[in-house]
Amino acid sequence: MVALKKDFILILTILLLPLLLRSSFVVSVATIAVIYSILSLSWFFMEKEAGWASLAHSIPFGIAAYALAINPTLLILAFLLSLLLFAALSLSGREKFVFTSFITAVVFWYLSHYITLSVNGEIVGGEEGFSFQSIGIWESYLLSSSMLLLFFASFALIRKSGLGLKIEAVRDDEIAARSIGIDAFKIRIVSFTISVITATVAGLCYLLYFGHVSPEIFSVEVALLPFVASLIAGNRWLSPVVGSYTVVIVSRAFSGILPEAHLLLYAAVLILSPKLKGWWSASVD
Amino acid sequence: MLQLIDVSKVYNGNVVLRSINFKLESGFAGIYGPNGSGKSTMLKIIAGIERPDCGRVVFEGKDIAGKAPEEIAKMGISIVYQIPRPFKNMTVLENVATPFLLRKSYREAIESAMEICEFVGLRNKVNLKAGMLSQGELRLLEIGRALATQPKLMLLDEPFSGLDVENAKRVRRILRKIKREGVDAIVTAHRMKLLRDVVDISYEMRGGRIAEGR
Repeated sequence: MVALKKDFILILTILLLPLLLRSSFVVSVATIAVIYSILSLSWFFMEKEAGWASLAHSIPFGIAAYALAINPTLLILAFLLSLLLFAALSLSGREKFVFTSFITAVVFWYLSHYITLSVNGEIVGGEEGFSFQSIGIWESYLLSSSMLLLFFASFALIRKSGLGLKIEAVRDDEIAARSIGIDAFKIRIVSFTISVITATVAGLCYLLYFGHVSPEIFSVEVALLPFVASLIAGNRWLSPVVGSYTVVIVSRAFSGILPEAHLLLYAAVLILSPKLKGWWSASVD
Repeated sequence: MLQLIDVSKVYNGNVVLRSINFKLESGFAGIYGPNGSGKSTMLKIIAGIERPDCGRVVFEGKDIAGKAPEEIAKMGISIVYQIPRPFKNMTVLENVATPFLLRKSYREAIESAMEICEFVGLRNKVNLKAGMLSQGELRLLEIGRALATQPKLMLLDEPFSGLDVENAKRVRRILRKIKREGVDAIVTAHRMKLLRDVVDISYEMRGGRIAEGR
């Protein structure tokens, strides 16, 4: 709990810095980092707490943004679709889930190019995507930062609650958990629901900031981002936030000379992932 | 209380249980027999971990064969596995508190778990991660966690296996305490000697068949 409090204070400090600098550029970069931090945090909860490593968090993230852009009444449906998809994919088991979820994410990316609507006789969507009214940089930053703090605090509370213990029990040993009366499937759905809600909120923040959503939101880069971000900075609850900031800052810093710099970072992290996992596990022990 | 009627189980063409008929009204029943005789499979079928190929498992008048393990646990049957299966990233206290959470608030669950830890002799280990415990302590933790489900019937699969003399004595002492509390149990072991001063009645299991023992 002490480590979590420290992490919370660190996040709060990271979030306050751009406000003190009062630079629109810094705030715009920080907003993207915060949105991806929420997405990574949703992934981290499902992986670390519930034991399900997904490579398809781009789906609830992207569907939520698309639903809001097309018709806000579709949001509930978008959430349920993501949840149903995760639940269905989990039937193949934990080991296969990482692969089946990644394949599903790629299929969504492909299909998203064909999402079109006819508006006043004009076809919109497709590769161009959909537009929505942006709420502005500062408002977006405040909204997404509040959401990040809210989810971080909620996850800390869940971890120290009865629900958190049940989720951990099912993660550690599903058979043993069932033998003491825990409904493992119900607990799995509850953990997926928490994670999908978080990713959905990240998707909404994304659209409200950019004012536009295109098939790129379902791209492999976005699908891999939470995994890469969580590997970069260790095995703590702060890690997905620090990792997301690193990816966004590297991407922005080299955008002039090397627009795809973040992909090099991805490649390096993925190649080094066995070593990184070993280091972080050792540091936790 | 518990009755197995013509229960059979086949794994990959090997008959593990052959039309088992078994009845426990109350008390502690011991089942001894060599490795591979079907003792663990029988307990797993009662606990819902395995499904019988045929036959009935009747507990308190209800056929529970094929029911999910969580439903059976809620009916009052808990199992202690031969190879301990702790929630290794949780502390000892959290391991024991988890079953209580199905019926109690977090705070009450922790308080009740503390009592159980005291009961099984793990009071001074409550804040240790389960992964740090010795084999003997893990067995005590498993027993404590099973007790936390507040069972009517406990299934203890080879509770003495892999334990040194001292730890085996500790487990035996705790089993006697559980018996005094009025919980019924089925205890398995590979030798009759290990069960002698714990059980009320013993059965021998060999080649998937069961018979009343010495």
